[in-house]
Amino acid sequence: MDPRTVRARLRALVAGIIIAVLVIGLVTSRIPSQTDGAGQADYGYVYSGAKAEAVDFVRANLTESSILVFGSSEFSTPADTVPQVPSQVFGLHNYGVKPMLLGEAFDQALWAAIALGAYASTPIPRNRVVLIVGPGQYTDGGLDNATFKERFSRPLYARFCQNEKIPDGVKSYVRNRLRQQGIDEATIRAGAAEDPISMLNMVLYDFVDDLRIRRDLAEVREKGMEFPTEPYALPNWQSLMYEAYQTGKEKGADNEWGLDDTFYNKQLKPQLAALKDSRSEETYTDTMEYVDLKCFLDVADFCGLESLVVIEPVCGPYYDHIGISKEVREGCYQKIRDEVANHPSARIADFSDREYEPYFLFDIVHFGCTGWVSAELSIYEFAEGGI
Amino acid sequence: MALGKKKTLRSVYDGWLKANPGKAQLIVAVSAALAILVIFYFVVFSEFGASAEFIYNQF
Repeated sequence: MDPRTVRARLRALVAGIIIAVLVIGLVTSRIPSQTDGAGQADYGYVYSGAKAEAVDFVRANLTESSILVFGSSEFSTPADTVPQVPSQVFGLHNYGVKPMLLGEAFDQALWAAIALGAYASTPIPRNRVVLIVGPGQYTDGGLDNATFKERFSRPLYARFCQNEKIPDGVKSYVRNRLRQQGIDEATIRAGAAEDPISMLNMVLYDFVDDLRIRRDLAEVREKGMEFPTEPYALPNWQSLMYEAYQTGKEKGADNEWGLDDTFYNKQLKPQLAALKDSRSEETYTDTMEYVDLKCFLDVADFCGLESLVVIEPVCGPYYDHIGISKEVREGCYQKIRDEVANHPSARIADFSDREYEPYFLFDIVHFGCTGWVSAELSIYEFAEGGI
Repeated sequence: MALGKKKTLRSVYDGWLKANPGKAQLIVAVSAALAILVIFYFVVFSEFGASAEFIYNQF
């Protein structure tokens, strides 16, 4: 090929690249940025992984009333199953506290530590955060790598690494845990951006992740709740608890454990006989989750935040049935209590003594009617500086 | 026989490129743009690598 032809082809190649870049620029400019339309609705109760990793979106939608609440699958409980979920208690009324729920099923303490580090690189409302935990997260063997990889968020990890308030020791712990959970080295290094290749990777990852999040936020925006128009009022917790008890009684009338009847009859009852003593080997000791909880509380400490750990109990009668004894469960609760006690700026809302209380859970591990009101009361009091 | 046909196709291709240098450049430009746009679509919009929707049922 003669040099003139080569030059012509190269010019064509460059023109093609320029055209592609222009088209990409046009397409991306049509997708709203994370901060577009901030404050138009209350997105605090939208159950979404995209929301949780959209730090700029969440920050733009925080107000002085907000409080960050990290958790997992309990946030997916629908209001028609448990009418006392936060969207119905805090979302429909102006109680002066607006939880921003962050997390999805299988988001555990390591995920929450990374997310907290990402969010806490700038001041967050009230300087207080809440974490909801339960024995289901402390099972032997820990969270399997495949599930962890699905829930791992590179954008959150990158922001966590950029948080200068978090010391190298904590970052190093998180890096090692990510390796243990099977996150690839390129992703881990890109988060820290320690060398030129990692920095380039980070730029590319940031661009692609931002677009993906902006795309997924369209669904989150559709699910935002209107802000209540009623004036500020103090919540009547006694009345809320009474209503919750009555609702729980109606929804759990057909089973002696006080769980939601639909759940009990359709999902639990058919399997009960087969599940007898099926988990008798469980010890709740062979897991890194307790150290991950320490890491979360450390991150809160280093970022100057007070934290509240809410212990969500499991259904006592069911766990007795499957062979995980009360003593084994108590061991798990105690380790959580000990970890919290080691952090002077951390508080605890311990509901582990409610395992046998009807209507406290709607299924075997998630808050039910009275359970949610109890948790909400603790979050409210903590947010307002009461505990 | 097959070799002869291949040679013929190659000579037709070369002849067309020489006779249509402008169109050849256009094809290069469009191919480059399309390749980048396909990769862009695949990475950002195709849901490849998206997180699974979890329904919690492991107690």
